[in-house]
Amino acid sequence: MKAPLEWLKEFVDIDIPTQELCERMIMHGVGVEGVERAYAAYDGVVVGQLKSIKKHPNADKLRICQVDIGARTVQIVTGAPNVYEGMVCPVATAHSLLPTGQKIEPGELRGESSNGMLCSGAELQVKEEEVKNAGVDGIMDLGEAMKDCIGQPFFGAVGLDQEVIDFEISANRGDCMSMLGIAREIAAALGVPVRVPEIQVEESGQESVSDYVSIDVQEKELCPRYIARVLTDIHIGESPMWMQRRLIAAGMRPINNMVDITNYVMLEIGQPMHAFDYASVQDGRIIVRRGRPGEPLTTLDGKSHTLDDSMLVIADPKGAIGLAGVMGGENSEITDNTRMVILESANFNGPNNRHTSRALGILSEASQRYTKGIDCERVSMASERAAQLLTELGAGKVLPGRIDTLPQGEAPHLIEARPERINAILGTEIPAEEMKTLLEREGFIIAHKEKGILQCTIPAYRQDLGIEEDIAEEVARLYGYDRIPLLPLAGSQQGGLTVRQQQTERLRMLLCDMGLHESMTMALVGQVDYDLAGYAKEDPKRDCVTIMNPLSEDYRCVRTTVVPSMCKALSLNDRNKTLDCPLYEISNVHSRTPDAEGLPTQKQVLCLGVIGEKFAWLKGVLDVLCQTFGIPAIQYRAQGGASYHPMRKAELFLHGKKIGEMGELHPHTMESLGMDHRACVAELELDPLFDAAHTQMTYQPLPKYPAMERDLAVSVDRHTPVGPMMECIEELGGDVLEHVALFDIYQGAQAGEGKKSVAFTLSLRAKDRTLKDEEANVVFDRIVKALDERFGAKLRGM
Amino acid sequence: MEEQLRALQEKTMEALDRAASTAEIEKLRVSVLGRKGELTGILRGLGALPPAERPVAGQKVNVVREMLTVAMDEKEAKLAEAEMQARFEEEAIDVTAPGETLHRGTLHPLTHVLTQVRDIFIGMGFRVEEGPEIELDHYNFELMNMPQDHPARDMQDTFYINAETVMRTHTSPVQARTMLSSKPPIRMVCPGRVFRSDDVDATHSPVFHQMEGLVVDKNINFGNLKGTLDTFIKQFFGPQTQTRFRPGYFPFTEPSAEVDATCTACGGKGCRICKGTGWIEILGCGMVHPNVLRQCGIDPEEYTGYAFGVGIDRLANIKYNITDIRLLLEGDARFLKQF
Repeated sequence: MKAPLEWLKEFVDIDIPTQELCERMIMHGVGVEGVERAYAAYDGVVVGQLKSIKKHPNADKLRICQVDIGARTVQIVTGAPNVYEGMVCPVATAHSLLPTGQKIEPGELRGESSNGMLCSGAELQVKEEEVKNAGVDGIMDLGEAMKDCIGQPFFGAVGLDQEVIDFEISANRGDCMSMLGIAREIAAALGVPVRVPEIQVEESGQESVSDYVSIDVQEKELCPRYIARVLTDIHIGESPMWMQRRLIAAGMRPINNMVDITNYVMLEIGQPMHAFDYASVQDGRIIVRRGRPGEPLTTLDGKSHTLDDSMLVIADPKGAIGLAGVMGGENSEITDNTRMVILESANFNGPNNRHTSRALGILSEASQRYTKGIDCERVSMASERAAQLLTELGAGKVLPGRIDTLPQGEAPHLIEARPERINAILGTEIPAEEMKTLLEREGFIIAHKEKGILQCTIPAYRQDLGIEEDIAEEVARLYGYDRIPLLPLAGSQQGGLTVRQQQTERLRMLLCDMGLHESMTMALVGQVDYDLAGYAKEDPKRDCVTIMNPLSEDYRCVRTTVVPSMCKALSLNDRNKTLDCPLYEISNVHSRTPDAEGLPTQKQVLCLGVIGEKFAWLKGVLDVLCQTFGIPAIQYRAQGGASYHPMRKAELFLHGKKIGEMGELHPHTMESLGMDHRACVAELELDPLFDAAHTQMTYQPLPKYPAMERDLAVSVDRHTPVGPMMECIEELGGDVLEHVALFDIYQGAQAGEGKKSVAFTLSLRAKDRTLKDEEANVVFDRIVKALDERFGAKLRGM
Repeated sequence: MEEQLRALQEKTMEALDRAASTAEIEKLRVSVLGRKGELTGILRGLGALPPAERPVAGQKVNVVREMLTVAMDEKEAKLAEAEMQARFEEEAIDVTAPGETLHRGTLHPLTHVLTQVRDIFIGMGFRVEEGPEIELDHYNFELMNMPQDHPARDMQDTFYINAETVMRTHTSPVQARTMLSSKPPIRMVCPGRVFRSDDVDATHSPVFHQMEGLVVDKNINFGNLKGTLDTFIKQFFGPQTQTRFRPGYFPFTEPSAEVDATCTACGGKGCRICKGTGWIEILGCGMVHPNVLRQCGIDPEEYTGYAFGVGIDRLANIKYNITDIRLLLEGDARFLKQF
């Protein structure tokens, strides 16, 4: 909300520097975005003085001036006849911008360089009544007195420029979306009175409003008050400069006197208004009703809309002529030929207004005010103010009387507040009397009731206040938030993490310990991310929860897996040649399957990614993970999605249930990701892992007897997987087999055609005695025999 | 025999003199004093002497043995010392040469910040609660005192899954769920990912992280809120940090406040980072609105509470001086390795 300081000063005395005012307002609860100057864009136009003038050698009507613009003297060629040596005038310097939108560039006029322009009042859109000599035909003579200002920006020097404070109005303070509203807050913050303007309307004519207009509000709930006045003898033209300047400074474009008056009143009082061309309203009958399904309306901005019965419209018997409180219709727009006007000042229901404005995508000044909430009292004030301005500006006449659907106005709004309750909420000991004084500063009327209760009569414009806590906040901000003491929380409570949170925490640290770097990626993805990561068209992982109103297709899906995001990160790191940086991400993912509440099922997953042929390394990471958490071994089955290398992928099972998958990226996936190096990824659900974790650690007694190591090498078909062979060894090793480790797989020529040589180290130990060779041999032979029977594995000489 | 003894002594002393290493001494010791050594041989020869001469002769041999042993020990110690010195010289390393390259992993900066913030509150007795990221409008808005078409809904541009379901715009629904499922006293924080319809640029992201907190108990007041948050900010940014509470607006709290801390870059003097104000906005907070308490089954006359919310990404940006938040969610190793 842009508020020109000069306009605010009409309603409240401000005698502190603007910076301090902003500070005070921030601490009072009215945010300040910044302070700007209305004419900052035109600072290139400065006050200059003509030091010398000579005739142009090649043109009779042109003259060459040497112009002092403060910092330096520049040469400017002018065709204006009224210049003289010593003249002080506005100078548009090279590259400057004029209010007309014209940009002044240096150039040559008939062979003489010209670095700017001497300006007339018209070129600067300044009127005679604002600056003397602005109306003369020719360069504006600023007079000798302005010599002191040479080099200064012109608009500032003549007093037209002004400071504009951009206030940040919170969603509950529709009343502050006006000069008067902000002035009230300033007055309360500074402890000074506010000046509410006195309004008097000069009516003329024999007939009355009701001879011309009827108002039929069919939806009282959605339109609690409607006031109509009829304006006659309208002369559409420009509004006066002072009004235009204020509108521009507040960020609005002047249009014509009639429209400008409605906008001006909206900015001043905060009440949106609308002017209908009387001639285009059938029989002068205004109907406030719900839209009809499919009813068409073209709004003032030229856009066509199709309405429905959730929207409130202003209509005549023929059809809609405006969207109530959002935007007028093109069919009843004020034109240059408008002679008679129906002036609407009305209150519309905020939530309904918000609904309509969002449904149709129209964010108007009017709807912003209704959405944030404004009262019914200002409806009347605004109607009167607009009528007053119309006659003052000589833009037309006001027919006697008005139609008002709520002539008695709004009943006063009362809130009872218990001072001790307010102190209990705030942690303060503010005496009731002080509360009363503070609240009166905000325009409240306070009466004492029984039991010390303060009965607060709330000013109508404070629609945001409804309960005792609201009064507590008013007291707090007037008393000063900074004066409320800092108090510790009393009593001790058990804080901390749940077991699952502790496990996640431990997992993060463990992965870091193993050299992995934690990554986080965007939880919203697009189908394109699944494409890039090589997912098959029919892959169920593509079936995501989708957003109805996404930023773009790239962010439409709530991801079902972190893998596509991980692939993107790996590809980025591949491109950057940061190859030695294995990543992990712990994230929630979502599937469309409804959970107990009907919401998409949320699962926490761990995703790992590493550049290189590091399938076994990733398995190693998972092994350590399982060891650390006391999770039984994960089973790997050679199968999985299309994005992986067909011979280097696995699905992960725990207790027979699939918990994840891993693999080396398919060459096609690498290609679509633009990767030069191979990479491996894995993803696991964390819930089943953590559920299987052994949280209770028990110490194992240290061995008392020595271990015996035996190597075992077998020759086997090269497609026989090693995992089941090791399970077989463990099964038959019994109690004395402490550990089996794979130490070599050889597939070279010496292994034989279609064969591979696999070598294991067996560590054997008895708990209660030194194991004898003969005992070890028995176990060893038993294993060799089983490997042969089950896998066709033949013992090789070591 | 005495002659023989003297000769052996002289010869041995000479050899000892010449010995240049402990190994030579060891050899000499074996050849003279060893079981088959020359002196031992002489001792054995004593058996040929008459029994009456044997004690005297034996004593003489022992004197020589003693003397040689001491001489050998002394020389050996000296040589051992020299040899140790030589070994040290040999084994000298360049301590200025770089250490071996070890690989450690790192935590994400958001995890660092989240953990730090969370632990400060755990220290004050807060539990940690979590909840769904895809949330019912009911929990995200309605229970937070924002019914349909409430103007405050415009403060949070929302992604909709359908008419009833949204990507949560804040972690407040976790507060609602906690109040509905447990009785006061409540002291909890809820960290998590939140979503708002903001285009991606250096300072905006549709996905970011928050941590909200909630305390509900008897006699909780705005002063407690100020005390808690002042403690948090001083612990996070350092004890020299000042805080400023100013009125604000949130539909789910009343009274509401915005909290600023003195700028970490300039200490409050005013700089580019704080836009000259000396203050940086850290969090929003307030006393839980009675409508929120009531809707969550808590009697606002009996209990009061406060709530607050802090942007984790924003804290990370301030703490690590990160100027482009897109870096946080790209998985770029060059960025991640720095933390």
